[in-house]
Amino acid sequence: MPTPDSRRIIHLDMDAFYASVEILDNPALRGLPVVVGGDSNRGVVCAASYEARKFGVHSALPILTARKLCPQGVFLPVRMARYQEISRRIMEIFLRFTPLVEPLSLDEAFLDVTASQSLMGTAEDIAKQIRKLVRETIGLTVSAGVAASKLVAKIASDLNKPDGLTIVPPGQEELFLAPLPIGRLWGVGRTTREALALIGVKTIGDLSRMPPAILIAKFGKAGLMLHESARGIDHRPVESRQETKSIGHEETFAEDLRDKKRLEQELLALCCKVGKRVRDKGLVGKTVTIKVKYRDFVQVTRSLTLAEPVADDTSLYQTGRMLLAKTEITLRPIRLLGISLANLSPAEASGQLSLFDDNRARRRKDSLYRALDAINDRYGKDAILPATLVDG
Amino acid sequence: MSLIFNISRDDFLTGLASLQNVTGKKGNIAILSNILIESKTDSLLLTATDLEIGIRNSLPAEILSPGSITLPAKKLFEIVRESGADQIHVEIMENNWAKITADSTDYKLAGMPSEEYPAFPEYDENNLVALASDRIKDLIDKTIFSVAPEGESQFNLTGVLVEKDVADGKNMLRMVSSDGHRLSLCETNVDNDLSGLKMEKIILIPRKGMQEIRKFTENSAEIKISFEEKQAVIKTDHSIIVVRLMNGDFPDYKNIINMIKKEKCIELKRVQFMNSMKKMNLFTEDRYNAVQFQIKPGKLVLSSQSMDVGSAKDEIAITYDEAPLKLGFNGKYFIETMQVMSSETIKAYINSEESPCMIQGDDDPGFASIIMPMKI
Repeated sequence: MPTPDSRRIIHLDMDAFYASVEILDNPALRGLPVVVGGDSNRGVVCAASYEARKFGVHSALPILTARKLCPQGVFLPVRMARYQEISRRIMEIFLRFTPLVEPLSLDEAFLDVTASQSLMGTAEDIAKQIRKLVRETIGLTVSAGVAASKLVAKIASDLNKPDGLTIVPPGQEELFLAPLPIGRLWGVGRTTREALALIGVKTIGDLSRMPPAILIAKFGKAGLMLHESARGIDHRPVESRQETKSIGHEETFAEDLRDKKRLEQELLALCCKVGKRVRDKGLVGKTVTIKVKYRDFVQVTRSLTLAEPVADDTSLYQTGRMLLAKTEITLRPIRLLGISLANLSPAEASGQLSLFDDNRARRRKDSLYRALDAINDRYGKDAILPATLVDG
Repeated sequence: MSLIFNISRDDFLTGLASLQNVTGKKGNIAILSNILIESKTDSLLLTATDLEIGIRNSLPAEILSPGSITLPAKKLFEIVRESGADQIHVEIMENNWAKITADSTDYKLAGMPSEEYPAFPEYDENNLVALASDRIKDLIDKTIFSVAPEGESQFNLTGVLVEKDVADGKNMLRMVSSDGHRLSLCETNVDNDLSGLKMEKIILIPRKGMQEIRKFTENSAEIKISFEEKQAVIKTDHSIIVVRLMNGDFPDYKNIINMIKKEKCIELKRVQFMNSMKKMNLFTEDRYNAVQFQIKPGKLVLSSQSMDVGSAKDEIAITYDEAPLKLGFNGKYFIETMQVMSSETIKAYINSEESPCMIQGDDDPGFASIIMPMKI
């Protein structure tokens, strides 16, 4: 590990991305409080323009609450395809400066420009050029943070939003972080914040002065990470291609559901989507997780790791249904249901046969799903469906 | 009055060492990294628990003043281990501080009040059945190695199944474990009457609990066992361990054993075969350890290859005159089975590329190891 960190990393974060794209496409909206997030009242806010944020509207807020906070707001549906298109163009600009681009989402990315500096100028110059290019060619503003690590770069980009540029010179990381509240650190949520407040730690500077032994005693391994984070130490590399960790789908219902049969149907539909995507990627997975959000927005997950990895809709559905039974289904209305498969590995990697599975049945199942997928690929995704999902 | 005692350094060290594995689990309640020390008339009771496993030892000690305290398990163990003294003197002072004197060295160790320590699980003394330790130890050794790693939960494969049975009028105790790819089963005759041993529900003991029980079998010729609603209790003269049982099912292993046809069999010298497998294992891919078995008339050819490193091949003479077979196995599974067996010659029943292989040995009565092949 190179210590001290001599890398130069830029974190780029589009300002109120979805809302800004909407304003870009409809300039009449400029200066108005724009809220993106579903046209019904059931979803949550995906993005809010800075004008809307003044009313206390922020992402993940239920749309209904946002409407109450900001009645004069312009509420728009999510146009994911359009955001993806703009995002692709932005990432292409990033890639002109370094191949080491790690997108975190459509509107955020880390760039490692350490090696680009001899050709393209200092990291600061590169950040300035990128901001200029995005503004001129796309018409949107992007905030940037430049530092020696991902951790510090991300905190920096957030500091002077919107349309800001924050440079943390090498060696100044600890000084830069010291006055900031600990909540800015990655992984410090409410619980950790409260626990730290008890021992008098409020700023990142307070945290860096805490003897590591105390943090380790209190938080275990995470304590060591806290100590390092507070001093700006983060050796995680910028990874240009990310491995898929899990594949999932979720659905917010038009009205809250409490009928078990309906929920199981929805679950089956989700399983078909997840299964198809997992198989398309040539993967199998062992851990099935379902996510249930009740009417009051309380969210629970239930998860099970199977003895053998699976990729078929039926196994997903059987496991998912069992997990669903472990939630308060039928007792509490459910507004959102999701299922995902994690612990992924390439299909057929081991060839190790199982004692308790019928291996021949498994292979028959594999070829069945290959056929089903081929038919659905050719004739549309709903060409063959489970009977319970056929309308009428 | 607060606790003051003298204790032999060696007794103290043994008592503390046996508790180390069940204390101080990360992310746990702080007091659980302490051990509870309580005085009896002329002995000390040491207790540790991680809430899954509880262990209590009774040690001879000179009690100068009765009382109780909890002290950090690891630190106390280290103090006693580093000490060269014959005797160790411990005195509890104000605010739960312990003053420990060993030869010329004085230590002050911060404790916590004993009232905060969780109560030791209750159990019924009358349910205990005495069994020979070496039998139990053998059962554990021959099954624990194939327990599934944590995180697999379709069945409860992360523990060892314990059953009792009566065959030919003899009392039998059986343990079974599996990780889904292989299964180990061992049963043994016990001289004692097992009718007092209550085993109505499925008895599944988690791996870590089984490891601790195994240690008990080493220290005493006889151990007493009982199974209660939620826990297994194992007792020796001076120690007791209570392990919380796992909830749930174990797969139908009997069905698998019944399905194995014992038609094609090869006999192998156990040590020679094990050593050969170890050599093959040098060239397997890390995760799956695939070793190819070519069974031909008169010989078994073992081979392995690793894409980046190279390959290995070995031949063992066998008696076999049926149709040749070519199949793959995880080499590690065979090595681990050979390691727990003691027969000079082992029998491997191999039927087809896709059916389970069963391994037994004349000097390993009651033992069977079943290994599923790999597709190659």
